[in-house]
Amino acid sequence: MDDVVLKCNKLCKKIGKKDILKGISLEVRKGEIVGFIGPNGAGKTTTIKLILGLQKITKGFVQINGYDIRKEFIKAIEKVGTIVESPDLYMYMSGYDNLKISKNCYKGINDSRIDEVVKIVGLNNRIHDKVSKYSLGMRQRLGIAQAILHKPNLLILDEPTNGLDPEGIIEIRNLIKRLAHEEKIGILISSHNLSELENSCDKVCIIKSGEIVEEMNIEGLKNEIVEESYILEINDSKKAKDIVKNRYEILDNEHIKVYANKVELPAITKELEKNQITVYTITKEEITLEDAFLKKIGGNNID
Amino acid sequence: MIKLIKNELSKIFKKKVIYILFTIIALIIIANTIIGTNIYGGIVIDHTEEAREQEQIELGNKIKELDNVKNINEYIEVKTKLDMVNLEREYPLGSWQERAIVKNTNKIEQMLKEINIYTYQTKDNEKLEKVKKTYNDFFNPLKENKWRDFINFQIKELEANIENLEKEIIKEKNKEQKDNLESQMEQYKFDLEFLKIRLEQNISYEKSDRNTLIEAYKDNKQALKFYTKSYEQYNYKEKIQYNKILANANELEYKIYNNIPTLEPDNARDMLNNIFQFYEILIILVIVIVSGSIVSDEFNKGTIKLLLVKPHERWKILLSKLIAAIILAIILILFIVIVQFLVGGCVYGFEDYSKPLIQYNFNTQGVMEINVFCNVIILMLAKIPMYLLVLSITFAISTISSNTALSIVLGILTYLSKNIFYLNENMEFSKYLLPVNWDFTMYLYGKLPEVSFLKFDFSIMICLVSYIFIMLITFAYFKNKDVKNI
Repeated sequence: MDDVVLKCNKLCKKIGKKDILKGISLEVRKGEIVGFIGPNGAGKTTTIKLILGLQKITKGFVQINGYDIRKEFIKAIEKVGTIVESPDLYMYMSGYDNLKISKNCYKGINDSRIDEVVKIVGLNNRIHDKVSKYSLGMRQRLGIAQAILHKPNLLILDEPTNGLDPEGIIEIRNLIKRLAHEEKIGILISSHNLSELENSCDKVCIIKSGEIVEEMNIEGLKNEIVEESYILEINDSKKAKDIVKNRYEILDNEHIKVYANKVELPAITKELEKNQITVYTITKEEITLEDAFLKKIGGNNID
Repeated sequence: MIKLIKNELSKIFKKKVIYILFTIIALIIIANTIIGTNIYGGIVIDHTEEAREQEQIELGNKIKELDNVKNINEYIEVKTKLDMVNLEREYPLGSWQERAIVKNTNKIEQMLKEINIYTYQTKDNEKLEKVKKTYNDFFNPLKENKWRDFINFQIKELEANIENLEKEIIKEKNKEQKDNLESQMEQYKFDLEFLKIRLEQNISYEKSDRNTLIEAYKDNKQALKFYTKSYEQYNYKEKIQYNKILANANELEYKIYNNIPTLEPDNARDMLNNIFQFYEILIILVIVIVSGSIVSDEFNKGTIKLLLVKPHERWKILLSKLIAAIILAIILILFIVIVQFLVGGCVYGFEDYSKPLIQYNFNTQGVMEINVFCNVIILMLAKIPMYLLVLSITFAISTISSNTALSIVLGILTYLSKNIFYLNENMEFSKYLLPVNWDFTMYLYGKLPEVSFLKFDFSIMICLVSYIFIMLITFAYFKNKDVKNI
């Protein structure tokens, strides 16, 4: 249990009469990437703000490295790096000045560490430009740079890929993976987009309407809610009725959907051709984790 | 903590708006210094000389039409007037002779009239000679340009008058008459005293700064003579008036006896000395803009989250912002002082600064010489409670409301609130209000504030209590403030 860096226990938050969070519990271990996933308005950002002490906790507690965030704020927050919501930076200053200001808030970091993190996030060329001239992706990277400046062992990133293009998403994802595996940082990363995280997370917590609805290993989630399937374009779908042994659905006259692994596919096509059914194309059906998952949690209702 | 303050300062100074504000202030100071207070000073045209000439011509024409037998009375009247104008025109405007003639108009007119009567009407040679002798005694020093002789002549005359009066007083039985004579004698003695000062301090009637000083000094001294009761018996308004005259009289006396030079109406020293009158609104404006945005801007732009997840107590973060705002205010005041010093020095000459200010101090009941720089520092110290309170109130509103525009507007209104009502003695309740108490320049050098219910100790207390109260609320609120989702 020593390697638990973040522990939330039954967090509740009430704003006015409304319960925003209804008992959120989650854990992040050293070197582990935990995806914190839920639709907009589910309470992701609120949870993160409670963890960071930015909002008062109504009930429950947060421990970071064993310190309670409310009672020992400074010790708890010392080893946390974070981006909350969008990376809010001082737009009228250069990226370097932003990092310098962050640096001044911690003890025992020297200027060479700034250069180091700039290199890690790959902003070397533009670091002395004003942040207002940065693209969103560069701002995200600068946000990550200031989050890891003081060598935290817990990184909390709120929608770090929001607004990025696919290339940017991949870059950030790789960066996060590297940080977790090389520097053994525990990372809590929130997103409303499950597919973005499926490749990088070790664990996902799914939150809906202020409650954790699912907390599991990423492989388990995949296996449970997504079955591999292929769409076959053939000349007559009715004829295929008795030939395909796997579970299947007839979509229209020329398309059928077959639930099968890709190793089974050659056998299936061979069998079809043997029965004078021509197979024109085979396409893998792109069901994202998210689609499946939305099906499971029953849509995105904000209440 | 020091690093946090440094952070806040670097955030302020990385903003362009600060430099724009400072530049505008510098430009305003430069413009104000060059234009000066006395814009039309150079355009004033003195018509006195023309008027005198005109009068001379008119009277000259008039007398030609008059017959000195038929209209003898009118003739004498016009002749006297003409003689008077001729006399005045003999000497240039502003010379001591001209001043002396103007000051003694009644007396000279009387002499001229007598001379004319004896010459044209009664033709009484004996009396004429007598008057002419007095006339010559009076005018000889003028003609010879010996002002000391002239004053000595006046002194002799006054002494003779006093001697006569003393005799009359002894003879006089009527109480009322006696009092009248005595006050008349007092006046003679008073005039005598000032004539002696003129001799002693070498001040002729010639138009000069020193002459202006001694005349003003005499006026003030004259005014002081009306305050015959003891100080405590006067009401508060009279006390203020009395103090004003007393201070003026003492300051003028000091200037005359110590030969303190008078500066031009526009001069570098006084402009520096008055910066808190001229530029206070600018100081307040910048203070309010900075302290009104330093917290709320971070909330509005979301950057407050960056700060609050750093390993520092919240009160430290807020305090570092407050201190940064205070440091900026100090930098601003120093900036204004330095710019005014340089611009004033360049326009009017740096030597103005070496000339001391003369100030009557009611605490020591004496006059002191103060260097203008010391005085500016003293003024600044007296103004600091106000600046600090305006800053803190704006800062508090900014922290609590997270609304920059609102904080700036309310901050400026707070500053202006003192001008909303005119203080008078019936408003004793207002002594509990902060804006009435926060300007300590009203107590400077032991002066009396404009209304009797304001007391130095009480004002300090009100300011302290308000300050602590505002700070407690602000820090308590900030400690528990939730960072809202955007």
